[in-house]
Amino acid sequence: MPKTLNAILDTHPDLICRTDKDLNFTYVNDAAATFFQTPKRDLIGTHLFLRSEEDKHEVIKSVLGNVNPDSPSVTSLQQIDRASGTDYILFTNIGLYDEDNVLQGYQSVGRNVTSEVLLKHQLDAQSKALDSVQVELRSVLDTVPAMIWYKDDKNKILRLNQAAATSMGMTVEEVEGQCTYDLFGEAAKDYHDADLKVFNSGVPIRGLIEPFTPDSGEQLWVQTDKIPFTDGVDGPRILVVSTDITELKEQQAILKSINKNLDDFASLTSHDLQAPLRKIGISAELMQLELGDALPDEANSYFQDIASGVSHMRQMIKGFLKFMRASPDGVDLSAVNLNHVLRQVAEEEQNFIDKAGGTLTVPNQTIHVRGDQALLVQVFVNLICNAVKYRSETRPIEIEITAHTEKQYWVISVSDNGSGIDPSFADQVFDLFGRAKPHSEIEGSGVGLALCRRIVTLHGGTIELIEKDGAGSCFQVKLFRSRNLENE
Amino acid sequence: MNKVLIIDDSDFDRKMIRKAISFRRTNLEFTELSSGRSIAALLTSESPTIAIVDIRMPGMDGFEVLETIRSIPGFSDLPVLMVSGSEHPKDREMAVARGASGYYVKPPSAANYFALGCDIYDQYLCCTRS
Repeated sequence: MPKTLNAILDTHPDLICRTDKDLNFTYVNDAAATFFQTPKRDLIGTHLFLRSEEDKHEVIKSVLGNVNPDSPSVTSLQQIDRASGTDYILFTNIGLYDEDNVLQGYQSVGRNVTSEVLLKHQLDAQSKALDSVQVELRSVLDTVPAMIWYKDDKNKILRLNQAAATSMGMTVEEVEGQCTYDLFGEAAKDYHDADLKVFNSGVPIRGLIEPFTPDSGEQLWVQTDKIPFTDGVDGPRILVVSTDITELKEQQAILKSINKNLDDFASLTSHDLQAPLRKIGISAELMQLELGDALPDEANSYFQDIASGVSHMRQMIKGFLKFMRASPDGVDLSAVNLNHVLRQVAEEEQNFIDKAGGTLTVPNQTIHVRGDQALLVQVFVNLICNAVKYRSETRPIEIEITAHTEKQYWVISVSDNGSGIDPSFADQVFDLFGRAKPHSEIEGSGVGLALCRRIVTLHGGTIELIEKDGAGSCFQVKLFRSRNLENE
Repeated sequence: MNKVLIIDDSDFDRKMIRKAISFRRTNLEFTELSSGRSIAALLTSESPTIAIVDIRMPGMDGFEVLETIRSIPGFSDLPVLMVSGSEHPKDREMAVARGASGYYVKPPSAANYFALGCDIYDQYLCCTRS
């Protein structure tokens, strides 16, 4: 070999060596000497196997066994473990043949590819982790009951979960890549318009209630969130998450119809009951006016009984109507400052309490609840009227309203020093026309507390008569706390 | 002679309205109908001074009667008072919206009935043509 060529090979960063056909070194370059950790002169003439690990011998034999005149070059990647660490060397082994194709020796070029191999290992591991994340994500997506779509701004469905595909009567594979316009008929335009609104504004739409009408699936009602996002590479994307609320919607419709029927029933009943009642009352009145002088004195007391019965019945009908009108349809829940409510009630009832010679105290702390202000006023007016009505005859009335929090509730207690209510009536007092005392003793329609319970229940709260130390009674109202208060 | 037309399916209420308006008053003539079905023909033949119409009646309700009256030429200004046994706020709103001249809840007592009769007489009958 020419000297200059050898000089180039000597300093080449790849390890280069040559052996005779029996694998005795005939040439090694600097890199090879370093690799074998032996000076060049000690290598020449020695056998390759003296310089390599025993477990590699079979590998080397097998690799070189594949060399033949037709395919003289074979590559193999070898892992070399040393105390300093592991190296990966990519060997290209070439069989050297004479003109008669008789093997003369081998030439090997080894390139240290450790960093490439490690990088590949790292990439493989990352790709495996990514695959596992994708499997996990897919499994999460397919497990949640919500229907999830991932779309672009052209109304094309890029991905979707199992629930979404099932709802459309198709498989995930059938839907992916399809245009919504081809799957949803006329409704697709509405979906796309809402998507575009989100794309253009960048603001998500949440809680959109819309019909879901896939061409090949069931017709449903869904509540949808549309969330814009971008992965920074492709165009704008939108995540559409829908929950099937068909059953809820149907129940709402049924409830609405029941409420409407009840409302109509209450209104008609009250009208139909009022008519004969007016007839009885007015006729008795006229009889007394026109024939009073001709009738015995005893008859006048009967007329008073009729008038009182008619008046009581009229009060009950009015109360019943008032009770029935507090229906879910009429409840408008929002954040309410209960201090305002209690102050309003206190102002309204102050006159009443002053006349009865009493005091009313309201809580100082700020109380925000979720409720319907007008209905809550009714609740506390009723409770205070009740306290006044059932006051003690021997001491001035004292009504104290206090409040404290308990988990997600505000607990408002309306306590008085009145005649109290027998604990055995604790449940009965909340019944419609239920009373703790006979009508002859205490005036009233028997609706007040029933109405309180109906209103509080419509707020998702509770009202109870609780036992109290000392005289009087205590009503406890629990209402949901509200954090944000508009208009304040 | 002032002519009062009363349309109410309740015999009792027709009687009370008549009694209340005519109490200690003369020169009044009453026509009573238990439904508004024949209202169109009757209006042209009777030419009432005032019509008092109950809202809740079977078949044709008071609002339909009111609409019929308003649709007949020459009766767009006829005082039509709607009366009802219910205190439903919607009844009052609808009565006003459909062109009623007044709306009254049927009184709960004889004394109130006479007071109502007095109001109606003073407002619509005492100073009109006789």
